[in-house]
Amino acid sequence: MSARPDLIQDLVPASGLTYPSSAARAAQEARLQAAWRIPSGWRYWSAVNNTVVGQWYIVVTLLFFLFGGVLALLLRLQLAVPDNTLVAADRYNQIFTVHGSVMMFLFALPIFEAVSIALLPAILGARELPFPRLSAFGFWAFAIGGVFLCGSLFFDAAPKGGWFMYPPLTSGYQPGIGADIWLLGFSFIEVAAIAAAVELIVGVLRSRPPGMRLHLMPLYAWYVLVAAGMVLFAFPPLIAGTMMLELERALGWPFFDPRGGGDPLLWQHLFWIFGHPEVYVIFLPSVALVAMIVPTAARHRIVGYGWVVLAALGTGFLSFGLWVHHMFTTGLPALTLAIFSAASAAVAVPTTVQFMCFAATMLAGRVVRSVPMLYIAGGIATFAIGGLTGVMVAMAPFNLQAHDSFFVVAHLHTVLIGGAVFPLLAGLYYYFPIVGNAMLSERLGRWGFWLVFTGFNLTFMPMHVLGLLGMPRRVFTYAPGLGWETLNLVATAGAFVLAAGFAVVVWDVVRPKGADARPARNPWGAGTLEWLPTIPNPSWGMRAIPTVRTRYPIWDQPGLVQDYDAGRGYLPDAEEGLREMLVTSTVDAEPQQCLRIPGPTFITLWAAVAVGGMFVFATFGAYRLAAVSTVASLVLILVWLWTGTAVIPEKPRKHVGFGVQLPLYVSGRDSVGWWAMAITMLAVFTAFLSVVFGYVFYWTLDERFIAQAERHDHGLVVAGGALVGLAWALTAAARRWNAADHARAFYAGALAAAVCGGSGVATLLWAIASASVGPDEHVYGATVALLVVWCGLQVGLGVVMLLYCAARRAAGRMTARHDIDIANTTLYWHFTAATMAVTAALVSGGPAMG
Amino acid sequence: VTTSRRPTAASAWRLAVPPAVWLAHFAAVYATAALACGRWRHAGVDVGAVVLGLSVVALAGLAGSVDWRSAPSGTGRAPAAFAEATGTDAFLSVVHLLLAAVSGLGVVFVAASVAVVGVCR
Repeated sequence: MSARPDLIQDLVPASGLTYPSSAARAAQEARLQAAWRIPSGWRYWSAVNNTVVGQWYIVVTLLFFLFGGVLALLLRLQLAVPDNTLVAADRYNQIFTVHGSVMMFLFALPIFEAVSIALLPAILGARELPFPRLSAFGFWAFAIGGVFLCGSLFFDAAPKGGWFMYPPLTSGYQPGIGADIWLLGFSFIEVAAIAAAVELIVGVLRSRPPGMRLHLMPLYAWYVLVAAGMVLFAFPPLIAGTMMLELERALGWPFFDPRGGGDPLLWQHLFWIFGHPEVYVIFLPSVALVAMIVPTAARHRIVGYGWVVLAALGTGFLSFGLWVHHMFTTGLPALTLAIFSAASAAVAVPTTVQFMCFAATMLAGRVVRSVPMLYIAGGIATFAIGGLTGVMVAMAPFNLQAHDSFFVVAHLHTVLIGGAVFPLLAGLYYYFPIVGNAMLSERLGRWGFWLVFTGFNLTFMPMHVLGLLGMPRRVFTYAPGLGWETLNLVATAGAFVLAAGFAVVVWDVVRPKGADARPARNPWGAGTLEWLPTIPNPSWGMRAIPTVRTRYPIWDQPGLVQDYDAGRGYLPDAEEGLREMLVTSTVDAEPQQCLRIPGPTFITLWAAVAVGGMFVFATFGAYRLAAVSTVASLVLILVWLWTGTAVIPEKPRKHVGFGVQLPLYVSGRDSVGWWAMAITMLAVFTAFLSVVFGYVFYWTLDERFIAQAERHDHGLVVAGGALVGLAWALTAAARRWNAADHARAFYAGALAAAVCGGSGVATLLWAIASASVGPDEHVYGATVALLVVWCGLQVGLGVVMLLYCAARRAAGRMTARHDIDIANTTLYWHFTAATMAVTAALVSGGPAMG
Repeated sequence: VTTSRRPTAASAWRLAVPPAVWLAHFAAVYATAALACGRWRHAGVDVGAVVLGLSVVALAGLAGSVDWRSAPSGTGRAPAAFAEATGTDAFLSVVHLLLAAVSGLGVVFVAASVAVVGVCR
């Protein structure tokens, strides 16, 4: 098969081009500065530049990390001596629940998205990510949700069911709002996480520089692609689960209550289908940092690039087959335990391959010692121990002994701190010149590392032994004389050494730095594009977009830096004063579009506040205010879309440099918006399938579930489904009529589709209201009601989108050729029709499955 | 300007096939176990035979997903195909082959566990 060897030559500037004059360059730079300016004063908070939002995101995430760390110290103080009375039992439960939840949902996971938003565009030689306002919205949503959850601790109202919130403990036995704060607060944060994942996937696939074909992409981008892809499939089951648990708490729908035919084990399944891949979502992006730092330190390109890519992909998908190993003691059949035990052992293979490649790179090159490499060495050693104890707990017989003991606490902290925190600290020291415009201190860095490393081992090594001695986790105290005293005291002392290490790191970051800390350009001598700009870098991101021919362009492409400084690349100017970036093709990175992206705005902040209000008011049962917030969110998001997206350009095409002309407006399968919609709907559809999984799960348990179906009339659901199907067909037709410029037919089609959709929603609601098995009576009724309500909501939103398209066309913001809005709406309807079809088939065909 | 119709883009999308085969196999084995030890526990399902059948189908599917003509003939050629100078096509076809191998490993591991522990309790 042809590898298109001509492609690269196509993209290399023709020889003989001269550099622009210095006056012309200064004028270009002034225009770029103006277009990409970061607002000052209070308007600073309206910035959407990825560098600024990334910085906020990282800072807030680290603040949550420190908060979670202080909570950990409280836990350790309480356990330092037997029969301690420092923290009462109920308060202790709240503290460990918030500690775990904060570390997982507000630190470990979002730090990946925060770092990627800050660094990914530079690593890809891009000016920005394709949806800067979406990043900002995600950040604000995350910050609001996180503060809400942490704040609950100060009002003695925090969740206290453990970070995995098992019912029935968190349903029947925990009145009050603690569990609701967890369920609704995290639903909100999960939305933010999925928003960031969409942004990052489209970023990796569509904003690479010309020539950076898939197999030349920096490993960081591969890892981001895998981790963000995993978020799309791992988070939706949790979203579905939290919806079900909240419905049980608020409305008494018995999803997890055996008295109504439910089963608490379903929660554990849904939680861990999320929870286990999540461990790898945390781990892989941190390994990505290692994959960037090691070649720089070793002065040698990565050994086994393809093997690392393969290992990242392999770990990514195999991690979806491990979830039951968290449930080995729940009485599942031995056969099931064996399957998951085997899969858990299999995932160790690709995980190890990555580290072998890093070791080979270090051996092949000559490693320059530095603080980042210290953390990487410490991280690999620690992670190896955690990985081995992981294989131990993957074995069902050992797991039965170690389950819910401190051994598991020791294991998970060793994996996550070794696999994620140490590499992140390496990344902090390595990338601080880019994000913080200064070098961190080598001396403080060494002190910090040795304190963190010693403290970590003092804290967690004894816990392995404590677990084997039988100390259970989540106990607020223990009796003397069990042989646990010394080890607990050592662990507590270690925790404070660890904390001292973090204090040194924090001091290194925040201390005033003199002029000597001003880094040289590319201070580590790296080979990848994020080190191309000057430090500090002007807000334009990239001066001009380079053409890439190798995996380490700074090392391999002579003249790259001079060309960059001279603005000899793509998009060296902002002639119209607008923010522009290059969109390239998925595999070969051929230039496809000059994408105009929106600038600063407060609307993302207001939209996040409104969406946050929806969840916060619902937590306190203030449903009227929650409804007001819902309407406000919808209005704000529509205003945001109306003013900021699918803007028709003043001309169809534009010169981007080197004689290349690119379109300014692209719709359909090549547009970034279409990709974002497709990816988002994939996540939504996965969440829906998680509810379907619930249906099938109940069905496999015994015959009583489906027996309920026989006294249920499903005619109305099928009728509603038929109306939705009609709406879908009309939407597709409306899109074609719009493209053919039959304005009247388009309006008729879109409005008819909206009417069919609306009647479909009414029919579905009627179906629920008249159901013979009520949702609060039996889990069959509850599951069917949830599936049908889901369809109703999705169709309702689709109707709003149709009306929006009609309004856009009427206002002249959408035309036959400029049809992004209706193209994306049609794509949305494809997924909606599939959702409805599955629901109707399951509900009407389920009873036949006997 | 559309890449989606280019052969390379198609082979990039085909990378999803081996993991999907693994996932389908895994889900099918999990469902078989859940049913054989759940509501069909009195039906006398021969789990070993079902899983063996599923695994043969999955392995055949994995083998079928590999484009053997463009795949390297010997393992010694993998490093060459990972080099930067080779085209994206060669790179993708080796990654595809190796992904199929990892997926096959996952299938065999799971099937072997059923062979060893063939009981519900």
